[in-house]
Order: sequence, then C-alpha cells, then structure tokens
Amino acid sequence: METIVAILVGVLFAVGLYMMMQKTMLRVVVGGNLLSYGTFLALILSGGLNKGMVPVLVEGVEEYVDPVPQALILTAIVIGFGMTAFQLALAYRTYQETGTDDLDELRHEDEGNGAHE
Amino acid sequence: MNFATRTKGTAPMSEHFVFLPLLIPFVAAVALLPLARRTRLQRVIAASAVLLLLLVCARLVVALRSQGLIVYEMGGWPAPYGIVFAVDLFAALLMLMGAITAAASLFFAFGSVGPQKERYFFYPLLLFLVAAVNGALMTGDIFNLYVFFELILISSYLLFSHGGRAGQLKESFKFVLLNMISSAFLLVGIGGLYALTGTLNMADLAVKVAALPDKRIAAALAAVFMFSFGVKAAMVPLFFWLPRAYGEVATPVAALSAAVSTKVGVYALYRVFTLIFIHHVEYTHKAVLMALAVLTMVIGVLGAIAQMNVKRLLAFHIVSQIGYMLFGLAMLSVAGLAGGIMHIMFNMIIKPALFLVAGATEQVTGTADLRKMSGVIHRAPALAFTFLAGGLGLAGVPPMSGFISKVTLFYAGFLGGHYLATAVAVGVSFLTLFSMIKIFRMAYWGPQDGLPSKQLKAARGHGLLLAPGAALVAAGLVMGLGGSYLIDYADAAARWLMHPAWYVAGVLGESSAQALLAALEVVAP
Repeated sequence: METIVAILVGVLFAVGLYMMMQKTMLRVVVGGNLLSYGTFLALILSGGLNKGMVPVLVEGVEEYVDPVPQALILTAIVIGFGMTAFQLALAYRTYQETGTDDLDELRHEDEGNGAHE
Repeated sequence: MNFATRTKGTAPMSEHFVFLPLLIPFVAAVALLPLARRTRLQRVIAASAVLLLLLVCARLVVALRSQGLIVYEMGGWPAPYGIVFAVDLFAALLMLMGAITAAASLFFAFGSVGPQKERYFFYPLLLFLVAAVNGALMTGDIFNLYVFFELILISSYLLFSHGGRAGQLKESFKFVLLNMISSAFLLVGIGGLYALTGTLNMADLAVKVAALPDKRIAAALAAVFMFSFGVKAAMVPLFFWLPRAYGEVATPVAALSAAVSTKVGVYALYRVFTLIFIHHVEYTHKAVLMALAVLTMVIGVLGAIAQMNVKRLLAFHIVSQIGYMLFGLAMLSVAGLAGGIMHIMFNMIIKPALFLVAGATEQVTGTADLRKMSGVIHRAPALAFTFLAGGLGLAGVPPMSGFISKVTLFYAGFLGGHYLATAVAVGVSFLTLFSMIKIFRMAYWGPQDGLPSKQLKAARGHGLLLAPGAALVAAGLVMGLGGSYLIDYADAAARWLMHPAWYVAGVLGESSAQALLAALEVVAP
C-alpha cells in the first residue's frame, strides 16, 4: 500500500511540475495544485498507513492510525485552497490587465518597454 | 553541565509576555479591517501598534540577554506534545530590528501610498506581515514554521500585487509560483522528518535526529530544507524571483520585505542548521553552504553592478548580503555566527533605509532609472547625503555597523581557515562600494539638467519622505558606534545557537539535553 501511494506521489509531482512549465497561466495554477496534492499524500505516508484503523487515541484502543499527519494535512489543505484562490484571482487580473494569459507573451511585453536591463 | 546557571538576572520575565510580539500586530490588523474607509484612524492605530511592538521587542531583548530562552506552552501542554513558542536572543534581536523597520516603512507609507491603496487594506496587510514574521521567529515547532511561512507569503503576495499594475501582477505570479514549489518541498521535508522521528517539536527533533543510528535520510532531508528555505532567503541559485519583484512593488513594501521576508528564510536556515542538521558538518556546512554563500555574494553583487534601475540594483544587493549571512552560518563557529547575526541585524536596518531613500528620490525625480536622473544633490542635498551614508554603510565603511559585522565575519573566516571564502567576501565588499558610488554618481552627482521640470514642485515635499529613511540610517550609525554592545548581544545569541543542548534544556528539560549531549558525543569525537 505504501509503495503504491509513494508512486502516486511521484506521478502527481511529475504531472504537477510538467503542468507548471506550460505557457498558459491556468495550467500553471492547476499544476501547482497537483503538486500540493502530491505533498499531502507524502504527508499521509509520513505517519504510516494502517488500513481500516481509526485515528483516535483513547484508552483501550490498541490499533490506530497516527492522527498527527491528518491534522497537518487538514492545515495544509486549507492553506492550499487559499493559495489557489489567490492564484486564480491573480491570473485573472493579469489577464484583464495585459489581455493575455500566455506567459511567453508577457515576457516579450516586458522586454518591449525597455524595463529589461 | 548545569543548565540552571545560565538563568541569571533578578526577575525572569513572564512567559505570557512573549506572546505579545505576535498578538499586537495581529490584533491591530484585525481591528483595522472594518475601518477600511477611515484612513486617518487607520494610520493612528497602525502607528501606535507598531510603536508598542517596538517597546515590547526592546524589553524582550533586554530580558532574554539575562534569561536566555523563554518558552511559551500553548494551552499549558508541555513541549513534545503541545505546541510551544521558544524565543531565544537571536529571534528577539531580529524581532526588534523588524519592528524598527516596520515603524519606518509605515511612516514612509503615510506619505507615499495614497488614499486609494490605504482604503484597500494596505496597513492591515503590512501588520499581518509583521505578525507572521514574528510568529515564524518565535515558534519552536517546525510545522508551525511552515504555517507562519505561508502567512508571510500570503501577506507578501497581496502586498506585492497591491495596486494591480500589469508589471506588478506578472512578477507576483512568478513569486507565488516559486514559493509554492518551495512550500511543497518544505512540507515534504517536514513529513520526512516526522516519519523519521515521530515529532515536530524542533528541540525534540534535535534530540531524536541525534539519536538516529543512521543519519543518511536526515542528511537528504537537510538538502530539502536547504532548498526550501534557500528559495525564501533568495540564496543563489534560487534568487531569480526577487530582483524583478522588488523592482515593481511600492517602496514601503519593498523596504519591509527586504528587511524581514528574506531574513526569515535566513533565520530558518540558521535555526535548523544549528539545531537539527548538525551531524555532517564537513559536508553540509563547510562544503555546500560555504560554496552557496560565496556564490550568493558574488552573483548578487555582479547582478547589482549590471543594473540601471535603482530598486532592482538594491534588490540584487539583498541577494549579495544574504551571502554574507550564509557565510557566517557556514563557518559554524561562535565568531562566525556572531558576525552573521550582526550582519542580519544591520541589514534589517540599512537595506530598508536605502529602499526608502531611493523611494524618496524616485518621488523627486519621477523615475527609478539611473540614466534618466542626475543632479539630485542640487535639489535635495539632505537626500543625497543620507543615501551616501547608507550606501557606504552597506559597503562596510566605518563608523556604520556594517563595518563591524563584516570585520567580525572576516576575522571568523581567517580563524576558521576559510581563506578563499574570506578573500572573496572582502572583494565583494569593494564591489558593493563601487555600485553604491555608481548610484551616487549617476543619480545625485552631476548637472541638474537631468531632472524634468515638472518634478520641481515635488522636490519640495520630500522632507517627510526622507525622515524614516534618515532615521534608519541614523539607527545604523548608532549600532556602529555602539558596536561593542552589539557584539556583546550577537555573541550571546551565537553562543546559544552553538549549544543546541541549551535550547533543548529550555524546551524539554535537562534530561533530554543530556541525551542530546550523549548522542552528539557519539557522533563527533
């Protein structure tokens, strides 16, 4: 089970990074998102997978899943949602201001007005 | 070793006091949110909050000089299980410098950002940034470090894109992306450490990592952390987001970010590489960090020399100065760390000062392009000389404190036998001086005809804008003249960093510290 999830983490990282190297801003945002999902899965792995067990710590329970990584992931997911929302807003505003969401064109625009030195 | 002997002084400070540097800016920022339309009231609240923060941080530094470490247990849960804040002198010194810079940036913002931005939550964002930075400096829990980093980043993103010009938005987008990748790696690193040790508390991590029989995975995680914090600290080769982003943003934001944001990355590197990853010093510190430090110094200053935009030039100098700070860490000796700490402190004062003075100059000349400005010294001599004083200070000319911190670093470098790196550091200082003189010669010296005539009126009102920058330059001068006191504090802070067992004893108690010492003895004969 751990091995499968570890491979999945690698796949998510690869796809995410590939998407982040695209020209369209929206794809870049989606790529960033996939990257964070990869990290969430990696965090799950850090506590060890214990299939079918509950993440509780009460007296008498012998077999359980480590609850700490789940708390960490919850925090990380909330932060990730905030970041994604901001990125989408930023990408949309950039599109409104510049009229393009192609990152290559944005770069050329910059060199055109002499700001590049 | 008896750990209790270090706690001298009369009355130990209450642990609740430690929480104030986080609480004050946070509460003030929240209080400002419903007051968006009332700019005057916003200014009063923001200014009083920052000044109060300044007093609290100063008091904290004084207390920690005698007390060493203050641990605040959230909800009364003891250390390895609950979340703790552990503030040592190093963190307190950075908080104090951050508060000074925040005050100066805020007062500059009063005169420069304009009502449009003030209505769109400029001051609350500035205060959130300060609160998040203080939180990151105070926390003793590595996952909370990640959370506070994200808080710093989201405030920075908003401040960087505040105003919404096309160039700003574009640079912010890159900034967000790069930091997203670095945060993802930070999370993976934290997950790895948790899988390895089953704890997130930094003191506990120090003990558990030291007790690992095989530290190769820990060494791999050290690389992950070095990458992640390196992006945030703008270390070469991970600095590309910085110069352009800083070239675009409003002056007070650039000043405050230059002072605090990258330095928190440096702080995090100092923290984990003096507390947790201290087992392959020959490799991590003396080889990798040292090489990166030298490259950061050189590439930063070369980038600065090539620039013609004042803000970008100064931004490249941030990168170069980060190199000096990493140099101090890479030596991993008391003298080296003390020099590095002093350099961080001085940079947190002088770098924003230069940004603020350059921003005031931009108001006078109407441009940030060096080729278009000339002869500001005729119109605004005070501005010109303030910049010169700050620039010489950055280059390390006495009596500014940059001289003392650099000399300490050079001394530590020779003492540690890092002759090549020290020689490079000396050379980079001359190049820094050269580029500062370049700004002075092109922008302030020369004939006056470079100034467009419509800027003549704007030149009159620059006095208010000059004051915060001049105050910071004066603070740098005071730090230089009071160098012996500064060294005293930096040395005490460096000693704490060099003795991780002291930190562990403060957070977890003496038995854990003994365990760490025993484990370290096994590793390093």
